[in-house]
Amino acid sequence: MSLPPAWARALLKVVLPASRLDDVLGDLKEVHSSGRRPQRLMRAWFAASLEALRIVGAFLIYRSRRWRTGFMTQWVTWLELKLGWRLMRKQPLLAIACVLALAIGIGLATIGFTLRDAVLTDELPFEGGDRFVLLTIHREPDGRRVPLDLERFDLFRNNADSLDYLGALRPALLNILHPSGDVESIEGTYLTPSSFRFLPFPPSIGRSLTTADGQPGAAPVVLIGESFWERRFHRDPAAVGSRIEISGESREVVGVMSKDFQFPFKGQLWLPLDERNLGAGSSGNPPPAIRVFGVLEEGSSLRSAQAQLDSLSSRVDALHPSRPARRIVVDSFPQGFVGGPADLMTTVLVAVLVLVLVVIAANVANLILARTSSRLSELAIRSALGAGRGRLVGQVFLEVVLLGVVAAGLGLAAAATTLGYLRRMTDDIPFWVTFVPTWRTMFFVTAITLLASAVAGALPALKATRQDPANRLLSHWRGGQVGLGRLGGLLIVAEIALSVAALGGAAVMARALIGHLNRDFGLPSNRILTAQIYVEPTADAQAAGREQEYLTQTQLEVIQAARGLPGVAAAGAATQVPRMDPPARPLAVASEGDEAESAPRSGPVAGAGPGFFKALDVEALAGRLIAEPDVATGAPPVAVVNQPFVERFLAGRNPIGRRVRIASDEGDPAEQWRTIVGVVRDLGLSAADDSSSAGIYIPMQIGQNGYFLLVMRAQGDPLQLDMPLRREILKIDPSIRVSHVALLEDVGKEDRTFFSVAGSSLVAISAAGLALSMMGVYAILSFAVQTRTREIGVRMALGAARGRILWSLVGRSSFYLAAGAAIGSLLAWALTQARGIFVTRLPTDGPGWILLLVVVLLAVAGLIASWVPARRALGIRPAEALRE
Amino acid sequence: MGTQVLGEFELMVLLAALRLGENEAYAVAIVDEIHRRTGRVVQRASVYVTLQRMEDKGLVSSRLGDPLPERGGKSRRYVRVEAAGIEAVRSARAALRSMWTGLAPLAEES
Repeated sequence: MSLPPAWARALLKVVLPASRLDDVLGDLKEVHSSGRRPQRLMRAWFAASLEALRIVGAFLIYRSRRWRTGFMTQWVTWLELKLGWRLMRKQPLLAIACVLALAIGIGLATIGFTLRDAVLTDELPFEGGDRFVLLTIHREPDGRRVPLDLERFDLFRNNADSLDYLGALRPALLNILHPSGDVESIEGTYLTPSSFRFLPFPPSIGRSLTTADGQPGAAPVVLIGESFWERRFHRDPAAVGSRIEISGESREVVGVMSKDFQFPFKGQLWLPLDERNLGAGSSGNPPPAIRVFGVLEEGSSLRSAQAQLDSLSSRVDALHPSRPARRIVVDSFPQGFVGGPADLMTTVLVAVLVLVLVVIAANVANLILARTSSRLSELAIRSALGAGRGRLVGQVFLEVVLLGVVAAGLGLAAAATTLGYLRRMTDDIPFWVTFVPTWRTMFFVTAITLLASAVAGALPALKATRQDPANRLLSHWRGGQVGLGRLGGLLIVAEIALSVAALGGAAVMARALIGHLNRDFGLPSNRILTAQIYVEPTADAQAAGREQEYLTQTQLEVIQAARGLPGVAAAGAATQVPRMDPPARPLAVASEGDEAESAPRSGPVAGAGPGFFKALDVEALAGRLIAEPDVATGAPPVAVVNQPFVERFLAGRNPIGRRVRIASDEGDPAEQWRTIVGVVRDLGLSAADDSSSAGIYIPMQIGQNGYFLLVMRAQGDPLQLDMPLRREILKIDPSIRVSHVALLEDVGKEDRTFFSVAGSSLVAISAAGLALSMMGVYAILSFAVQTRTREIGVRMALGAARGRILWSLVGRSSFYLAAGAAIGSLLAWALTQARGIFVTRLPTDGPGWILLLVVVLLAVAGLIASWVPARRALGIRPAEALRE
Repeated sequence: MGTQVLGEFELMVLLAALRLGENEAYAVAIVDEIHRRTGRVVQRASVYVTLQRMEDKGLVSSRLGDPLPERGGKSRRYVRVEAAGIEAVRSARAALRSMWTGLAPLAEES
């Protein structure tokens, strides 16, 4: 047993100056061991520990007194803290305004930086997650993404020293047949099983996948997730060893993974992928959906891995000069999945939020300025009594920090709540995106906001204390001014402009939402069921070169099976259904007779298969609808247009027999002229934006690709068709994926949620911004009245009209309001035009009507903000003002 | 700079250090000396902090002695009262004497 004990020595080491530690320890040993006062060991141990604690306590107090004395005597005392608190209580509105402003800034910045961190993270959130990388292969020279060939895969696996492991995965929507006969589609992943060596997630029960599971001829097994285990097996440990039918194949459950395990994206089932050929059929190529990933060797970097793989890949290209070369891109796993425009969007988002933060900090400075100016006398007198400039400025600085501490608590709580809400609203995001602000983010944002505001708040005090105090008092009593002047005005203009722009954005979202909610296209939407169907050619079909034939035949079988279900009145296929807002394409109409040639105009294009319009219970307004012969190979190209198309493209003229073409910027000769054979009413091709509703329907070629939408009109409750449909499809091909089964009236729900959330957020931001702007106007006007009391008194005594006096006060703030409204409206219009960067399905016609709303709103708000100071100004009695 | 004004405890520590001399005055001995001469039990922690404060003010200086086996090979830190410390002690004595003038009967009663 050592004296003093190890923990006491550690504490002393922290607290004592380094030069004192040894001699203090020596004294303790000398006193409490046999040296000076022999005593029993335990007693000595306790005594030494107690004394060590006394020494630690004494030095802690000594150090804290030294620090406090230094800081306090130079900058501020407890007295000043109390004074600051008292002053804030005297002006509660101002304090509340500052706290709200700072809270909004901190909250918004925290949300922005957290979203950015979530999108731009480079690491998977588990031990070793920073070593996971994703390989993307591009075909040169067109850069198109292609699957990795097995030859390259083997070469990389055997020769790339920079990679500790190379594996592959394929996300899949799997059909589970339950004992009850129900069929459920669940997201799962085929994964090379030896990758589990690098995933630090032990199974809850049973085992995870092993290398043996990925060998050719191995027994089919599956690893299930905890949620699936709860739902299917009610957490029964006997699930391990039981069998499940997955996409037509019976597999043994070998283990259950905890809820923490979501690799590679999210899902509930993990199936072994053949380690050697990655599920390649007799064609020799892995399926297109295969993604290749790796684990970097310890100490290797992305760059070194990239260089090595480039070198290895070029060897394969050299062996096959007739084939297009491949370009390998190695990226961190999360970035490999996300990447692309998300980068730009989040960077723009952060830039906007930082701008908002700057404006808010400046607004706080404006408010502090007004307050500081009202205390000029006090500051001057304190300065005359001996208070240093640093002390005076330090007090203002401290007051802003005090406000900021309260604001930080509010802002961070609001940010955490909002992020939690966003997380619950979004389904389809990877497991590594948690939307939880890190401590580092919260600290950084709070520190930056407080620092910016404190500095901005201290600047007016610096300016106010620049002059000799006596001169400062004299000039104040003579009606001199202290202020940020033009800078303060610019800040208010910027704030108003941002608020107006946000209001414009909110109005656009509101219009889109209203378009979705209120438009009734006369369809029996609550009796129509839609489902997304994806068919993949089997390995045999691929081997025989019959992919197209297989797709066509299978898709027709699915449509026939749907038509044959009891309770189905009609069924058909399409590429889009109403309210899905297909992307707009340039449409050209051939001129006839003496008509002038018109340039192509944008309009939505949807593919309609046989039975589509019948399933929607729609009849032609003129001509006929798309029929079975139109979808046959080699059939003459036709189109059906909607009523808005007739009005906008043909000015109401008869469309039957006219020709329309999907133009292309490159003048693609493959786009052919189509004869218009029929007209239907507006069926909601573009629900969010009326101005883009004029479009056409073209025959959908069954089997052209693996994906289509099945549309079924039911005689009774359409939701009862879900399970029977899945069972029939399972009989045709167990690997067919059925997803997004929903009533037609629920289509576009995600868009409506997005418009609703985005609109509400923008309204909140706009309202907050406008409120802060009005407070800024109020502050500036109050300050102006206060410092110009004497001048106003003199002018009134000389007979100046009250109107002229009023205008001299509010004229400048009216200018700020008008300038902010004008700039903000331009900004709102520009953002609307650039909406294509963010969301395409938004109304295009600018927020013209909101200009009037904005002008009215601003005028009313400006009137309110100006009213109190203006009343005060007009209530000044000249005699009293001159006496002051 | 004027003479430092000493607190009561600072005075006792300085006096104990002066009595022990610069080759014997270290924290443990100072505590024992104060106890022996005044009967007061003082905490070594207070002595450490006081010595640190007085060293910061320049009233004392310190040096490490040779390592000793009974202290686990650690050295003692010996204290030397500097000229400023001696001056402060003298000033404190003069002040006390001045305050005691005319109170001799009170002093004799104890």
